[in-house]
Amino acid sequence: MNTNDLIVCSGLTKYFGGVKALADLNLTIGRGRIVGLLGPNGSGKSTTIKLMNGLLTPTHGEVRIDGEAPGVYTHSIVSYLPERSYLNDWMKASQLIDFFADFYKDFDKKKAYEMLKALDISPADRLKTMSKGTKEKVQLILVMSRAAQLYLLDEPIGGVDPATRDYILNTILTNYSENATVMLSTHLISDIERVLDEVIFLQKGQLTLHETVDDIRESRGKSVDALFREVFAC
Amino acid sequence: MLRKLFKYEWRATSRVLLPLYGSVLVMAIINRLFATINMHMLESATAGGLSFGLPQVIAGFVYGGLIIASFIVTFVLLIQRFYKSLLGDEGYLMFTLPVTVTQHIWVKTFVAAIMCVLSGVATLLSVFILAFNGQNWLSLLKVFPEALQMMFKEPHLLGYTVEGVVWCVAGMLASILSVYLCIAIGHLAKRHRVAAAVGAYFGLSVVGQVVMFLVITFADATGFDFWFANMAPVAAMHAGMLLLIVLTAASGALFFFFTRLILTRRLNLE
Repeated sequence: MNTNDLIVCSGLTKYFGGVKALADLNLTIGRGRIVGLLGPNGSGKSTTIKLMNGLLTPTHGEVRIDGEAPGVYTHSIVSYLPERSYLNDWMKASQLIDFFADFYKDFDKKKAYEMLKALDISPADRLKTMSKGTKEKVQLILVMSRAAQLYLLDEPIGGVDPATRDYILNTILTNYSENATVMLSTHLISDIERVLDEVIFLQKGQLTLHETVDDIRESRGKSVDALFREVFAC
Repeated sequence: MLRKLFKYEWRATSRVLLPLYGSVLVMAIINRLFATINMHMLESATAGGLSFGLPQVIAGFVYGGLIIASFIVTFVLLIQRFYKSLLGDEGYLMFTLPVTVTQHIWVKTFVAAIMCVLSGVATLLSVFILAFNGQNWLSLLKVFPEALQMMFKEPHLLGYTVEGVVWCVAGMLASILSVYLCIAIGHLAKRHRVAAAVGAYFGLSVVGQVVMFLVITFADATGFDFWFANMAPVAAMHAGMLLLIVLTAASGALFFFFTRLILTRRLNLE
């Protein structure tokens, strides 16, 4: 499949028991875009990304990635970075690289080793001996070493220092192919604003804004960060 | 994909279990050594010869403990491999691989089955190491060709053996799948998922008993058992074995079907 719209959400709704995590999301994202999924904690960002990955079952509605429901095909074209530690602790960085190379045809081992070297991480180190920040870097390297059509990054810069944040953002900018889309969720907006093409605001499970960054700056005359603070003021 | 998945599942499981089974064998050898040394010392020395008494007792306890541990750890680890690997944090990795849920379930089931067999083999082997001397080994080795000869004379015996083995394998796979189904049912609960899984286990046992009762009542009511009774004993035996195999395989298939259904239609990793 190679439709023009990479992500299509139609009436996507998710309830956890009685709690509404996402309400009737209608969203279309094209190819070659860097999209920021922004909102305060509990607004439904992770829920949306997990639904796109098929890790949650929608209560109503559906999501399609490149025209298909989440499944084997979408997993092969989507590179996902969860916000939690999800890799086997006992494995070494080199073993994890082998693991990803085994399952994903689009995985570039050479790139992965280069990034490990750039971040001063030894491939022979086991994950359990690494600090939290280093583990997150390894996870990011594995995700960004794939030549995927869609990168879904859930809070990729949350737990790392500012220098690493810059490295991650540069990696995202320089490593994805022209036709690939990157969607990253975060609440650290001022840091990532410079890389974004489009932003989506989520508030209490509802989509309240979906515009390009240029439009926001031109029509509203303010930065995305300023607009966010205004919209989500407590 | 199946082979690659199997490779990783095997690696993750064997790194814990194989050393444990190996240590059972090592302890058996150590115990055997102590027993042999002690025997020689008793024969050669006057009174005394107790110098290896205490270590031998300790070695005996350790050996016994390791056997029990190997079964318990196998059981616990195989549950853990399904629960944590698919429905815990690692599920974020597993369920986003370009692999079907069917492949996940099969690979875990097969590795679990192989480990169950290996734990039994390790225990049996350790008992042989401990208890058998040269003569026993020779007579044991004679048993196999004798058994084979008997089977070729009486082909039905071979048939029963094959059917028995198939039934055991089917039963083992069905048991493992039933545990996986309980864990999957537990996953459906919003909270207290472990308690829900345990509850599902008891529920499933009750359902199994009810089904057995219904099957027997049905057999009684339709005269199915008379058909059995009127058959030649050999044919009845085969028919009985085949029926057992079919029922066991069917229950295994049902467990697999519902486990897969839950993990594809009702997955909610939090």
